[in-house]
Amino acid sequence: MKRFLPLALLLLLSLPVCGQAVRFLPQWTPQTQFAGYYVALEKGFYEAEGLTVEIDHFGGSSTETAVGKLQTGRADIITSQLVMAMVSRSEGVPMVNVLQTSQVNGLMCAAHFPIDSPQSLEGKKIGRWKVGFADICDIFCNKNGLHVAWIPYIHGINLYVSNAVDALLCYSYSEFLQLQLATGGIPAGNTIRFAEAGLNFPEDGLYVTETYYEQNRETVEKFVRASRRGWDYARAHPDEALDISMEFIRAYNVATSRTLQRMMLEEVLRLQVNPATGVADYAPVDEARFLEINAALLEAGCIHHSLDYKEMIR
Amino acid sequence: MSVKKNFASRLSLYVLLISAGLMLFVSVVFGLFVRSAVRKSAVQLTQKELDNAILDIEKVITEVERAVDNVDWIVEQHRDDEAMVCQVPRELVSANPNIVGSTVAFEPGAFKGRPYFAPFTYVDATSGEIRSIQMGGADYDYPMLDWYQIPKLLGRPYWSEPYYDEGGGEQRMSTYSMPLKDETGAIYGILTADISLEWLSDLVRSIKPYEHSYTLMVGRNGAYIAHPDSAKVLNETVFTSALEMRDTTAMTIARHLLAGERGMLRFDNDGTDSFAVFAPLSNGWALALICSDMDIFRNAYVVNFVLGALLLLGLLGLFFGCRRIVRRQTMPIVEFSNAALTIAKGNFKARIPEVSTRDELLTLRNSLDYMQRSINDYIAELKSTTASNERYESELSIARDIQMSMLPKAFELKGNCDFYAMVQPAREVGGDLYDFIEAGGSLYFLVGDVSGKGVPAALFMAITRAAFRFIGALGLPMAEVMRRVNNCLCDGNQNEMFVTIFAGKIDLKTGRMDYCNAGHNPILVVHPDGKAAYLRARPNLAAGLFENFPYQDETIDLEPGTRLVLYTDGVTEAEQADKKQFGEDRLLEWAAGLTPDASAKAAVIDLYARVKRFTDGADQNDDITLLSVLWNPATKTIQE
Repeated sequence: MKRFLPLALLLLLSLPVCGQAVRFLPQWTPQTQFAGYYVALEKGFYEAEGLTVEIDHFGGSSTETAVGKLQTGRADIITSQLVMAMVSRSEGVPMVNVLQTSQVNGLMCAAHFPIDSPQSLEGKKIGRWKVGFADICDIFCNKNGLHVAWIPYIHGINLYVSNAVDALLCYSYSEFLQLQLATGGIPAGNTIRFAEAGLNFPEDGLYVTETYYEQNRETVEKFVRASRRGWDYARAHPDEALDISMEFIRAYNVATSRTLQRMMLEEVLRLQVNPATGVADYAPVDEARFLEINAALLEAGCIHHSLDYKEMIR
Repeated sequence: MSVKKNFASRLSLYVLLISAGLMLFVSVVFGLFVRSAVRKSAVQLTQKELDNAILDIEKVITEVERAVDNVDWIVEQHRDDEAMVCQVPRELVSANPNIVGSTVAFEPGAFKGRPYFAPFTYVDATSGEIRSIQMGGADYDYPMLDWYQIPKLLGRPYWSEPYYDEGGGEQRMSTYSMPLKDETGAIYGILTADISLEWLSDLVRSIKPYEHSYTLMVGRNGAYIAHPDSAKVLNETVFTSALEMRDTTAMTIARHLLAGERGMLRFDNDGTDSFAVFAPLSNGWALALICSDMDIFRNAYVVNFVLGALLLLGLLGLFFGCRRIVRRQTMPIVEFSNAALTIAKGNFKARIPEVSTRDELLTLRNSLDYMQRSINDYIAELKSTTASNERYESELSIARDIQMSMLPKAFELKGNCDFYAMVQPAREVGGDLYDFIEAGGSLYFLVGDVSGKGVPAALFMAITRAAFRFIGALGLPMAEVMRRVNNCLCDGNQNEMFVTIFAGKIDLKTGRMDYCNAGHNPILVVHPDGKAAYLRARPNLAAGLFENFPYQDETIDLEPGTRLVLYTDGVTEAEQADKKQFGEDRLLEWAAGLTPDASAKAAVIDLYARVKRFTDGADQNDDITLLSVLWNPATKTIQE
């Protein structure tokens, strides 16, 4: 419980006298990947919408998923990745997308060897998160006929640094930056970006259950509006957003540095820019793209039945 | 006193500059040598400190590794005995003060089919009591964690990267994990020992060979395990600031550290010249000790400052001491200079100072003494010579008066004949002469030039003039007069002197002129119409050379207004400074420009002035004699 004490105190101080309570759960430990939500809370954007938002986080060694907490009702709104959410929905979690923040995929694979082609990864031991995030890799392996030894792990980069694995899945805004700071730089030839391999599927967005959405549509709309405002503010004031984020990060004793978090925020904001419009417009994934991802997931065996666009994307 | 004007100061300055240059060179070489030696010593010192620290750390690491190794067999032999298995971590924690936690974590299903089995014993950070719990579950899926998964994947023992123990001891920890293998070599679990790293910070902080030196420790993932700035520990890596500042040297050191290398590198540490010595630990971590040049050279800087100050003082002492010595040593020179000045001012008897040394100063003193004696001797000789010269000049002056008195000064008009003459000797006395006498209704005149100059020529001129005056008075034909004068001069002329003569005889009634030339310059005739020409005459021999030489008369009738100009070669051979002569052409040119009615005197004076203007102050190298006769002039005058 000690780890939650600072946050609990923080939340107690920020609790308004009244308002619609929302339990919000980002899908990972505190970091600037979620800076827009911290800013929305700290700058009072949620409060201005009449919401009382509680931001919860996972600890460093947790093996639970945000989807699991959403499904069991321990969280009202979570962040998740589109592909992961589609897989979860196919598995019976009635989650719907209410905001698409990410527009560009940031998934990468960093190896101890040059990756000249997808075949370079054949038969290799590759670390991937136990809690998901890597369904795109299954699509990638399926498309390229690859057979790799997946090594599930919780978090961090020590699998890679200790040479326990040949390669590591990582996000361009997170583990890849940690690898850069731990090794002094991974050669560009030792990485592959899935966005550039024909799998530029959008990632982070906000999700709620169908039930919650039906019963609290106005609350969800308010939360989405305030969250967008928070991200817009973070884009306009990155230094202030970083300061606000670091308070959350320190409260959880996350081993990180301001440098890493600044780099992460820059990358996350870059991935939010819609390549089609050149601005961060939070455009929902269109039906054609949704169906494309759906088909790819079906083919890779990640899902076993087609998903309905209108049911999932609200 | 200005250095430029003072020999002692100047010499001292030169010595100072040379000494300063040499000292600077020696100081630089010495400084570089000292710097190198100090750096080498500092590197050795820091490496030794680092090695000592590594020994201390390795001692703990080895103890922990050995402790785990020692109980490995118990688990192996009793791996189905829950009590025995649970006893192993308890024994490890209770028997080893460095171990604050331990577990035997089994592979899922490996212990009696249980999904998780990991008895964990730890020291409660608050109470200090030893407690045991079972780990594993949906919230703590330990097979996915580094301390379990990495040694399992590597198949060998592994020291985890340091981590912050949340919810436990709230301290930095590291876990030593040893894979447990069955008879087939398959891994069925991991035996661990946790150690607190808090003591590392104290140890690392104590490694401080210099005031501002500091030590840092990094894990294999580059994260700081120990750093003077505790905020960086576990939060930043050795590349964090290096990447931000694009510091390639720091990047290089970081890479050496993570590569497990041992060595030393110099680098710019935030603007401070520094060096880092680094060495790895056996578990893959690394230590680096950073020292700034300012620290290691602090004592050397103090020594350098003191040395520099002493050198400066020494140089100043050298300058003033040198100047004093040079002044003392060169004092005789000043005295010699004063003595020389006194002598130069006329006191030739001034005393030359004595010197006690036997060196160049004595030589200089002797030279001055010799010079003084030479001057005095010369002056005495000069006085004698001057007296002799004065006497000689006096005699010459008298001789000149006598010679000049021989030449007629009164130029009384003789009938229709206006005439005038002058002589200007080159020395006190000369060999030129002119004369005229009236006899038998005719005017006899001559101009002559004796060979040589000075007194001999003057004496010969006097003889010539006396002979002419005596013989001319007889009223003889001109050639006879010349013949007799020649014979007279030849008589007893042992020195074979001779004289060129142009002599003429003008009938004062008719204007007929008989003339005879004895080797003299042709005379100039200016006709009444202003045309001038040299009179053609036989050259004949000069008088005094051959007795009875057959001189012959020549005759010309002078028209009224005809002007004769007689001269010696002192006129035509008058030279400018550049040896350019007046010449006969310039004389002819002068005559052509002469005013027709100018008197004989005016003509003579004008010609002499023309010659002087031509020579323009150059020394006169020969006697100049001019004589002009104007027959039947339009204006009759008496010339003085």
